[in-house]
Amino acid sequence: MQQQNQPFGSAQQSQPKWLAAYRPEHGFFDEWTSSRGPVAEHWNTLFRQLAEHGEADYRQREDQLERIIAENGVTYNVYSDPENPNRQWKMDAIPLLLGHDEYERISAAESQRMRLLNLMLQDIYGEQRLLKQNLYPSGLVFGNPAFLRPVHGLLPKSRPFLFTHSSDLARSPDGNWWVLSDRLDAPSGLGYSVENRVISNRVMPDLMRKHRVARVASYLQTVSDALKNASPRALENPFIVLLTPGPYNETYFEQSYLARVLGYPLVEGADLTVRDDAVFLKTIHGMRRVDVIFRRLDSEWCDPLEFRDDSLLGVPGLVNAIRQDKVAVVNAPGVGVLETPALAAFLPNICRELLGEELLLPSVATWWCGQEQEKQYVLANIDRLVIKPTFPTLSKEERPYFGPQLSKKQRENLVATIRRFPDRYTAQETVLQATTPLYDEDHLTPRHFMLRTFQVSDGNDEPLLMPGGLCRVANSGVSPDVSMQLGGVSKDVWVVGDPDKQQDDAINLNYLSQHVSLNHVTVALSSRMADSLFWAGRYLDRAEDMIRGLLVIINATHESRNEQDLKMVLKMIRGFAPHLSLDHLKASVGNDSNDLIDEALRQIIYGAQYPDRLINVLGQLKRVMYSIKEMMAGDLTRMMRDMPAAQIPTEGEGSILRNAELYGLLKRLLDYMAAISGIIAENTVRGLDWAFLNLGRRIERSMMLCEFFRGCLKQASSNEEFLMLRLLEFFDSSVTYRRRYLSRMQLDAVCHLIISDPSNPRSLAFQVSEVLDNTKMLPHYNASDMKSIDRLALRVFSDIVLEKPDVLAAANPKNERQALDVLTKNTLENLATLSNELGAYYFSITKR
Amino acid sequence: MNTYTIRHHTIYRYEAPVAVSHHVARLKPISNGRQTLQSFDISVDPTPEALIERIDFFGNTLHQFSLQKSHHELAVLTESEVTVDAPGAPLLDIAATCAEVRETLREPKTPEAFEALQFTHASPQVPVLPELHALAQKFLTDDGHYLGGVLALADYIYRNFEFDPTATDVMTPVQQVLKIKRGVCQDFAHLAIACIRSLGLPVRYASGYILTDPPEGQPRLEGADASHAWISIYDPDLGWIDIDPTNNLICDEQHIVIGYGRDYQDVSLVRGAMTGGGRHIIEVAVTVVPKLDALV
Repeated sequence: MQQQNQPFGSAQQSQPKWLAAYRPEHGFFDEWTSSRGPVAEHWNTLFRQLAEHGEADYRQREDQLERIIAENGVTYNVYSDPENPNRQWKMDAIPLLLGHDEYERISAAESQRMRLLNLMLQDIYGEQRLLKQNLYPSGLVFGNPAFLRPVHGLLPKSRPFLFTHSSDLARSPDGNWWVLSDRLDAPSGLGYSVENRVISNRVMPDLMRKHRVARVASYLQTVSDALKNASPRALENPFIVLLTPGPYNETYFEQSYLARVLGYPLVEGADLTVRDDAVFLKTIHGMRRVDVIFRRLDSEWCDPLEFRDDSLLGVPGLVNAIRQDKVAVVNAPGVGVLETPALAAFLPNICRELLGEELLLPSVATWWCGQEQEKQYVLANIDRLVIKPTFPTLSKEERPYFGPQLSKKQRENLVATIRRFPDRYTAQETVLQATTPLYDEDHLTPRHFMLRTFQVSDGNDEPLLMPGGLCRVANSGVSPDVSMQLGGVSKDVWVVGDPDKQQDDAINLNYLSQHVSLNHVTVALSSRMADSLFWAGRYLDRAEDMIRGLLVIINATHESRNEQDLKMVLKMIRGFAPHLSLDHLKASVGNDSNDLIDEALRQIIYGAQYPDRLINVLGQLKRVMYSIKEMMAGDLTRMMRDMPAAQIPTEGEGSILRNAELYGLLKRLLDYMAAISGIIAENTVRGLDWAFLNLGRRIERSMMLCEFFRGCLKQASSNEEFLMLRLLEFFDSSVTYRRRYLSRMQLDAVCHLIISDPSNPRSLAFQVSEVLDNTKMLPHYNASDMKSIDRLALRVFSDIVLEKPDVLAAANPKNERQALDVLTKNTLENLATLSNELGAYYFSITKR
Repeated sequence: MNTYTIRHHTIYRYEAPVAVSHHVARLKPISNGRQTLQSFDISVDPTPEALIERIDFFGNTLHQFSLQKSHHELAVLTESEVTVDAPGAPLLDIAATCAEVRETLREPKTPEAFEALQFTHASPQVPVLPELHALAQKFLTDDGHYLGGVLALADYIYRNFEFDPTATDVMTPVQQVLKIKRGVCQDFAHLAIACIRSLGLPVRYASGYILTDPPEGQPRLEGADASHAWISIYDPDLGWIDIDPTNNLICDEQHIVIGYGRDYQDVSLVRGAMTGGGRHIIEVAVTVVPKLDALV
């Protein structure tokens, strides 16, 4: 073990308590105290600076860091926690320092590794010479579920399989770096590491300047260039998309973040379609040819036609599009075959054979249990080894087993499993992983860590290793397992001590994000996103109108003085929930109007047989808002998260009318809905996003209003003053009415205010004029073509504004309001058709 | 030597219109040591924009096509003419033992032996099940002949499992077949493969046809009115030998193979990915008859 570095110099200055307590474990390399040379100076300087600023200053930085993470909504989805799937990203403000000389060494080694892996992939998916020569066991390929046979012979020989490559590195007590695993298929972490850097820039700007930290922005530029060069078509600006498995993936945040930073549309498999062997993005402007797919979807899910046929996440025909050289997928599918840890045992030999070089970054000693002797060795030494699944795709959830930490029972189970499925397990020597300082509540403590590296190459130039990376630290002092799934903490990685590179990242990252937002305007709105926006609008309004209606009905019931009034309330319910059969309810609760109203309200909120029940609508709203969250202001995401919808019990017992708590909850929910509408109105640029969202809202509200009118007024009755008051309340127009007409209730005046008056933002006329305005904003493919969408919107609008209020209010001798009946019926039909036409024309693109 | 004419008609009827669909069909019989493809014709209705023919990883021929106009129905019709010249019954006394087969594959010297390695591992539809280990060992001992052992295993399956087209579907797992002791040719092939591979021995899945009406005096075989499936094992000296567990015999001139893979998924006849369509029903009609030119 090396001599300890003296953190504050030999003068033994008085160290502040929170830093003085740092005691690295004996027998491990510690990044601060075991380092030598220039990087040791940087560590000492860093802590001297922190000491000078004091602990309170450091805590302020930490608070700021937490705030930024919360504001930016940096999250990590945790599969095993369905109650709280979005876990906040965790970052420690103290960086991992990496000396520039060390960075160069790792860079050279990783570059060699990427070359080697590319050649191996070419061999596996080509002539298989290495396997025929028995340089490694064929079972690692032929028995490997990540070996995708349709990829054999898929790529032109000049095309590399890997454009990006990541490794997880650990440092042993002698100071050497080891590769624990390679990440090839769809490596995650780049977005998080960029976000970590953005945070460092804001939280530690003074320190970063002093340490002249190497910038990472140029790495992103290189990624962007490499992806451009991947395009099979020689274009100046090939169209590149980032393919995500969707919002429920564990690293969805960073996927949407990366897409934003790199200026690519974030797409799901369903957004893409293959026509004539080329890949297209379905956008509301039509089909747009895709040249390069930057893939975060695992290989086997990419194409249900040639890989897993149960995949709903992929793009049918994608593999053939690659085969016909019409699109490039980065990294190529099938590269995951080399993610098996068992390969480490054979890599040094293969490196000599293929490159004639020694492997620069050694792999940990490795035994594959698919070989008899190796299996025997592993079973005999299981106590001191780490056991990993040989085929990660086969057992995604399975964590490594740390031999020394296994209980007797666990060990017995593992031994039995290895005997049953020997080829599925691989053992590795335990690396005594180095530690690095972490600030834990009130003191500095050493924690084991792992460094994920990122490199990129377009196959022509030498790979560039990102000067930085993602450092992950174990969540407890003893565990070497650094999984973010298990609650690990991340750190920014500062490469320090390069005399040539002294630029400030803040400027470059800022430039990049501005550059990006300019790009963003030109990025087409995908059909799926437009669809989601439209339905977000519809559910937002459905929820708001339902809550408002429920409150109006509850109030009206309480204010009813006689049976006559209660009959009016029931009439309102018919209009409010036209699909709820009151006759059916009578069968179970009897004829008492109060009971009937109560039961109807319960059905509207909870009824298992009632598809549009409030709790369902709120659930749908949450889901659809989640799917558009990267298009919305951060405030909105927070509002959706904090909305007290979850407090509504999922089953209702007892009276709704007498449930004061529920009433209060509904009122608060309504306030939330109003706030959400406000944020959307204030923060959404009046572009296509807005048009689809607003169309959804206005169509939904118009339909709701029409139904309500029909239910309440189609048949005239004697007690309409009571009804008119509630109508005005439901339309939030009571005040306006009183100011215009004082307290005289007159139906033609009411009809004017809430149906025909386009200046009243709550009126039906106002809603349909918004529909008309928004449809005009939508793209046309053919200038001469007046779509049925435009025609319908115009018809609905003119029907409503042209009908005179007194005609609507007039009833025939049989007490029927024919004009109102016809108008609402036609409007409902036309709006339903309009909604379907929007879907066919813009969302599913079946009609063009 | 016999020449057959095979007509294979597949119709998909969809509940709702399909906007776009992509398909891969593996319907063209291969030519190999035991048969020669004389002619082949495929037609697809509605007519696809393009019909690509290519060879897949396993050496089988496939056709890939997509339909980009809305349709309710898809029909694929193939007509093949194949001459079968099956080798006579293999000589059991020169067949290798299981231990010898494994030894050959440990460091394969020939391309055939290397290829056989593909077929010793678990595959998507045939997991390696340790519980089959004991059953397999009853028939396949280290010192026993591999071929003889597989024939005994086929005999066991034939006697203990009932042919029942209603009991299973194309996705029924081997475990389930083992439990209910019923199934069709595909299930019996998968079961035999699972047993054999649990011992690390090379065996592949064969997709093909058998003669609709047998020669006079011979019984009609199961699976004659649809496509059929069986297994094919590798012997270092004898090469690949096809064995039909459903009918308990070594494949003869009544068997016409389309292609080989690790399991059904590698050689599934028509595979598709549709946008829209809802549920669908499939109708299949297969006839295999001796070529009529003898009568002309």
